[in-house]
Amino acid sequence: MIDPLTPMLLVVFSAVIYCWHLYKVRGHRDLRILIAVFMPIAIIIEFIGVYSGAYEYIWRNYLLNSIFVAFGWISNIYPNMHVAMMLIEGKNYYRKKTIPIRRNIMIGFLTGIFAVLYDLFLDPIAVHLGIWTWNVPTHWYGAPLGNFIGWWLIAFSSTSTYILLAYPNRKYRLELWIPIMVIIDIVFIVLMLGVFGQILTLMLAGP
Amino acid sequence: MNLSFEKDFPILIYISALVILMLLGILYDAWHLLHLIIFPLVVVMVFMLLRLGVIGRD
Repeated sequence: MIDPLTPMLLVVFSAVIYCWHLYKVRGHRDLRILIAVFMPIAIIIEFIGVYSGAYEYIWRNYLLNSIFVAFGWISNIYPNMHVAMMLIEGKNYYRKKTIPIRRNIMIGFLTGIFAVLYDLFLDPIAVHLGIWTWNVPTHWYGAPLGNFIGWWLIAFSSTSTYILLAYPNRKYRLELWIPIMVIIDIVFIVLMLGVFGQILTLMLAGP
Repeated sequence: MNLSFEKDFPILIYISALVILMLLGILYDAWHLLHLIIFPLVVVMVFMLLRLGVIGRD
């Protein structure tokens, strides 16, 4: 099993570097929005996941888990969002002032796909290294299929919310809209995970 | 094509993360999982096609 400090340092370092990149290309306002949207969604969804007993992290400690997932989800989503935004909005997307809602949804959709592609490699390695352990039946090299649905949902909703608040047609009152959108995202992710989890269970159970 | 901080930096970090994961996989005897790197490499390939101007727009 890997030393618990190694994955923690890896995600914290890479998340800080991504945050620095966002600060340089978009400024401190967008960086604050990204952190205020990504981190609470990651911490609450992962808390629900660990509390439900579906999986557990190497630290077996909610505070360390929260630090790991808060930085980890920035590391997971940011580069995939970057590629999706370049694909939909062009190479100079970071200079844009607004992004229409339809293109926002498309970016979120693609970010989710790219994040899942990343996780198809990351999850088996992480499970092998013992960074997290699944306590439910698994289908993909030690990871359950529901995990990938969760990855897509978190990447999609976090990205779309960030773009909605950071590239608006009008200025939002962020102190009001960030918590509202984060709560909507969490409810959306939990509901969709429940629905798709049931569908997957039925499909995998067979006739 | 010159490297650009705004456009290329996140993908260089992404590739570094993949390399570190591969090295950890080798170190902890996970050779049988390393072929899965083909999936994140799809993202890298999409990015390279974008930067070369084959797909996407300016």
